[in-house]
Amino acid sequence: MIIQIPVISLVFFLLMALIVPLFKRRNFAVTTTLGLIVLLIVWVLTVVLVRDVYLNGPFTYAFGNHESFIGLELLVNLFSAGFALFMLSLIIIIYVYSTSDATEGIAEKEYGRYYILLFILLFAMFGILYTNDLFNTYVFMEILSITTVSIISIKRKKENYTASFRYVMLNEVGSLSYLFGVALLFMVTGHTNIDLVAASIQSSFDDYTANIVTALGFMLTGIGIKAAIFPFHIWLPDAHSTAPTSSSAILSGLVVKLYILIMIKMLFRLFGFDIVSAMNIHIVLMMIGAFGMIMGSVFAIGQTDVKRMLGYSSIAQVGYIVLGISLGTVLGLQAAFFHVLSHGLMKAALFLSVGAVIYHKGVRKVKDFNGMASEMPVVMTVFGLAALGMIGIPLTSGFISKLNLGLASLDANQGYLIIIIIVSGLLNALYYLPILIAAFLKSNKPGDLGLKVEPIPRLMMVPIVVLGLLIVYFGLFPNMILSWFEEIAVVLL
Amino acid sequence: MIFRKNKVCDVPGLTKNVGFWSNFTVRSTLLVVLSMMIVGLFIAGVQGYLVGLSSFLTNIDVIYNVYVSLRDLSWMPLVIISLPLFGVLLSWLVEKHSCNRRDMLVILMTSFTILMSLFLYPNALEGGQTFNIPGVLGLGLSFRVDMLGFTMLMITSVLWFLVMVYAHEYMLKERHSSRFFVFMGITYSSVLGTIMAGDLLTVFLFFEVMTFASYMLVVHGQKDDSYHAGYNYIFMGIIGGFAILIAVMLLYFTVGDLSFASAIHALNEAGNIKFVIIGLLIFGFGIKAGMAPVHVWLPRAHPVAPTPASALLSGIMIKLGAYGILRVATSYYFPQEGADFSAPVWLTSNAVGSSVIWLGIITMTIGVFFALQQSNIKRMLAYHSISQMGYIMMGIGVALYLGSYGAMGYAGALYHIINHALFKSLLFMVAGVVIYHTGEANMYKLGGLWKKLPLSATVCLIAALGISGIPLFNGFVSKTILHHGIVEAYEYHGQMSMVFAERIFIVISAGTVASFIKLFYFVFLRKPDQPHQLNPEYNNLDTAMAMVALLIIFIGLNPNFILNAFIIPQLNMMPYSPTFVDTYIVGMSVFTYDDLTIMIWIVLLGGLIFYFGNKFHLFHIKLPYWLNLEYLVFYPVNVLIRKSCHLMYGDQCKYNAVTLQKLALKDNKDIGFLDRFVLMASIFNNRYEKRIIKSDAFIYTIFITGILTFMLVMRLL
Amino acid sequence: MNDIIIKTVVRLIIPFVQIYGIYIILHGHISPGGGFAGGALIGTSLVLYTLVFGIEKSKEKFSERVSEFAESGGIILYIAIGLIGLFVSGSFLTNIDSGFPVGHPGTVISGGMIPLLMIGIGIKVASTIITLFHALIEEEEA
Repeated sequence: MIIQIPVISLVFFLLMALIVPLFKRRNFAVTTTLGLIVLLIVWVLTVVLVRDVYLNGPFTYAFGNHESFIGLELLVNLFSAGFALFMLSLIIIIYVYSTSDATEGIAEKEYGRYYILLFILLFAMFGILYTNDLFNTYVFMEILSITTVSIISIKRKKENYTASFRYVMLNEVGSLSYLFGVALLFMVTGHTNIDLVAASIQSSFDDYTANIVTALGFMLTGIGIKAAIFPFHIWLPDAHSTAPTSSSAILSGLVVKLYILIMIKMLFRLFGFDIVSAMNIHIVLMMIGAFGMIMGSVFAIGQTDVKRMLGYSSIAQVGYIVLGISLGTVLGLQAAFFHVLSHGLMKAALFLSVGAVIYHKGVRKVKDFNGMASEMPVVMTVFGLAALGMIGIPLTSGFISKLNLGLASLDANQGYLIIIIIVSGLLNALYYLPILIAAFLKSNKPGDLGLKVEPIPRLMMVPIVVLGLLIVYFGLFPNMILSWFEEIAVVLL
Repeated sequence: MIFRKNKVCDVPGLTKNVGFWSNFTVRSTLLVVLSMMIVGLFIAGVQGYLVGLSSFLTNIDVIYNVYVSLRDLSWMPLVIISLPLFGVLLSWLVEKHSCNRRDMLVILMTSFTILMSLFLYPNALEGGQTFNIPGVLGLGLSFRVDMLGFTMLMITSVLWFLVMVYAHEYMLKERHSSRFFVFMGITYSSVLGTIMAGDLLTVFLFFEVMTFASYMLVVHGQKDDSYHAGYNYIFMGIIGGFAILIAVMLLYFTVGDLSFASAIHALNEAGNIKFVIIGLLIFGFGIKAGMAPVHVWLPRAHPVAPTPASALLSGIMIKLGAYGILRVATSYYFPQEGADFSAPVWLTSNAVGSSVIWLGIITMTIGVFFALQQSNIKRMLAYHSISQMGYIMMGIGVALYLGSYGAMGYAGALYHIINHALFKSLLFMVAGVVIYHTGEANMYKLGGLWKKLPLSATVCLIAALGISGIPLFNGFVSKTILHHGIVEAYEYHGQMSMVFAERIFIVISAGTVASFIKLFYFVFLRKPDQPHQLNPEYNNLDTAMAMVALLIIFIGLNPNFILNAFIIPQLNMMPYSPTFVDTYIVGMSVFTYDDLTIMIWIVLLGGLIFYFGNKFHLFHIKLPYWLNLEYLVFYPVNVLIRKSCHLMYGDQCKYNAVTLQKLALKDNKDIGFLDRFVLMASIFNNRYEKRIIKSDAFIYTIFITGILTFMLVMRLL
Repeated sequence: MNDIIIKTVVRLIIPFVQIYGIYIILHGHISPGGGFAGGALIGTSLVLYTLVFGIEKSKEKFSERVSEFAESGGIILYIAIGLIGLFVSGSFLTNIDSGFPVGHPGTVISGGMIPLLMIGIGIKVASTIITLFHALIEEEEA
């Protein structure tokens, strides 16, 4: 029964997406509550799945009981199940937030559409994580792209259209690039199943070098575009500046990470790190990661809109993860995974708090944040915690990921990367600290103000506080999660 | 977060007919006297002086059991760290009633902290218990209080207690006093944590917390120059923190264990990286310690902070920088047991030590030179802090340089830390009193205050005599020990440069004397241009200052007390040669003929400097604006970018003169290094961002072509 | 359009187009085509109806409510068939082992569950095409 859980989760999500239109005439709270119930059920099922995989090892699930070379296969190991659990938890938190953020630009009757898209997005995410087939990954990737662009441009505003059009175009180029890579691999190996292709590549690498090399290049570029890695990051800030808050949080915190996980799967399971390092791809990735870390922050410094600034900050943080991957050691992958977790939490916290500020005060520009903390203390505290985490101050999870990344780069004999990591942390400080200082200190009103908790709905406040607590928790006690990540990394390598 | 309405606090003068025992000042005075007595008795008791009393007390079973359980409590460091935080929580509850209760609570908590930390003394005499918390923050935290830590702990808690007594009165005239006390409490916790830490990661954690908490203290006034000073302070603090972080990573990778134990063998095997590590650590801790050339935040931060915060910043927090360097250098870079003086295991320490000595000397010089130029009292005291930290750094340098014979430098540095904490905080307190009563901080506009503020004038005189190093006051002892140290540096290694070091040492001491003659003359003695109207009455400010002054005099008259109780036990724990310690330090007498004569020369020289400086107006030199460090770095870069922009775009260059003018301001007090960087980044963004966004397809094509050719080329090679 | 000739001709043709579409759907596992192509045909027939008779009459024939049910129903059918496979023989979308009639290869009743899936897909594609067309037309008018 447990082996059915991945499929059941997918089915649940799809069914939920289909049921939402049927509730159009009722009170909207019914829909959201039902959605929450479905999410919680799937969460419990995934926990059971993770426990089972942890104790009994990975398993594969073939659709229709077909053989792997003609059928569709799901691979459930600690990597997929663990990250599925993480992403689901984060989605639940963001979902709870989004149920009360009704009026941020989305028209009332389109509100149900938002949730349909959200559930299909979850369906696609789980599909990508579990699948063991290259072409199936492509299909789910397309579904994910379309739903993501839809939840971003769901507000009907003029400036949305250019940004979403550019997003769609670039993502399509990315997907097609990936598909081209898959086609080349199919040409060489005759399979699309990842395990079979990997075995075949190992044996036929010397004969068909050009094919495999080209395939790797195209796939890498394609996924790089979709993961907002440095030279291809162009669509991300525009997408953020016009999206509703929970969509921004999902995009920056989860979707981008998902593509990086695909890249990890591709580099380590499909091609194997030996081939990748023989072609010096890891050096290319290292350089991209380093540049991304620095340039992302440099671009963020001059921004006036907070959401765009957070978008550029995401690009910088994705650079960290790519750097960790490119080291190619267990420690490097472990640090990269931890940063996936920690950046997801921190970026979601940042976006959600900014969303609360926009909801309550209606301001988005950096210079309007003066004295914000006296009116919205809890939200700005969580914002402050997350910002300190981005900079890398101890007691937050961001510090742990920086520390581990530094130790990993030392371990891989690339000690000079530490300088880049630290410089990037300083650049982060350059644009986060002024907001914090302005919010907490530069009060507009003369005299002191009494302590009050800001009047935003509790469903908005609770997720933000939960995220803040998680950031501090993982900053203090990271070792359990780190050991899990180490197990995953060992298997991958 | 905790921004409360300003409650109407009990203002002195409004409280009429309050009984003698419920007057705040009286109660706090009694508390101060009581605490000091307890401290003195405890230390004397453990040292074995009051045998009768201690044997009587230990025979009472209840007292003895409580004593033993508290003494052996291994997680006592955590208790001590959480005491101020607990006090913050309680004061938040009490605050609803009155300010006085909150302040009394703060004072009680700090005196309780002194009491609790006394229980660490017996274990510290034997090297301290280690308390590990594994798993937190990835690598685990640990706490260990040995004698060095205990000395710092003592001086910190005593001084913090007295400054809190002072702060009650001072903060009655300031706004947001509740926020001030909250962050004061958090800073106190983090300072205690840094001192009691047993490995470098714990130090780093508390160091960062301290940077952020003390930022809130610096920026308390919320005026424009507060923000500028705070911006500078926090960025240099973060940069220092990151330098320490890099060193932590390198150290963990090289040695594998971050706790403060000898690691010289592992470090020697790693080659040159040990110099990188110690360089980073000196840089990082040196920023906090106000070491030149990264001292620039100090003269900006101290004048804008409220006086209790300045007193503690100068008195304790910059010492943590020196403490950090001392701890790191003497733990990781010293061998486990004392090797012979010329053994090769000391070579690293020698090299590091000589550079630290010279850093100290440069710091001293810069400090005194700029101090003589200042007119703002607090700014002058800030520069003197820099200069005295230079003394301490020099002492640390000697401790490292002389290998197993470096005990004199170590003792001098530690003693000077204690002394400087006392007299510098006292000087700041006096400055605060002057500002509190007259509202004026420029010493050229003050004068003749000795009549109105006799107690303040007396304690200022005591502190000035202390910092100048006059015999019978505490500064004399530590400066003499430091002087012995620098002389030994020449004697044992024979390097000529150390002779120059010693000469500079003497000149700087004379400069210090001159500067304080200047201060005392202008503020207290001379006839003012217009007399000030003051009606001071005895309050907490005076209590605190009087107590510190008494401590100064006590140490001055009994120099060996500190040596025997605190310093010599620590020296015995370290790998310094025991014969050296026994010969030269135990029972050292500072009142020798040579030292006293040198002192007389210094005083005479100082008087001459003051006289001539005053006559020829040498105290008003302003350096040309372009000598500023930031300007030197940034202006060429700007010119380069502007020229290349003109080259590429001709007249279309959007790099218009206005923005550039802002970047290359002649008045660079307003814009600092980081602001310029931010402005440049904004210009870059505005100009190029849209272009980059529009050329996305181009980038994609170039990249994929590039990656394919790269891979093919690599494969075919 | 008001031309009577076009309206009459279209009224005659549409049923044949739809039958042809259904034929392609049902023979999806035997001949080229299948759910997507057949559904597109049916959808196109409805688009033709809209073009000729106007959007209001088209909406009477194929209202939003119907399209909702059609779209959801198509997928629910697909999932239900898959779940049958899951419950009966342990894997999603299992074909022969779940007991779907196998029949002889080459006839309509063969291939297990595939014709049923095709029906679901066909309904969904047709409904999607007509809904999209309606949305585009309404955009232009608005």
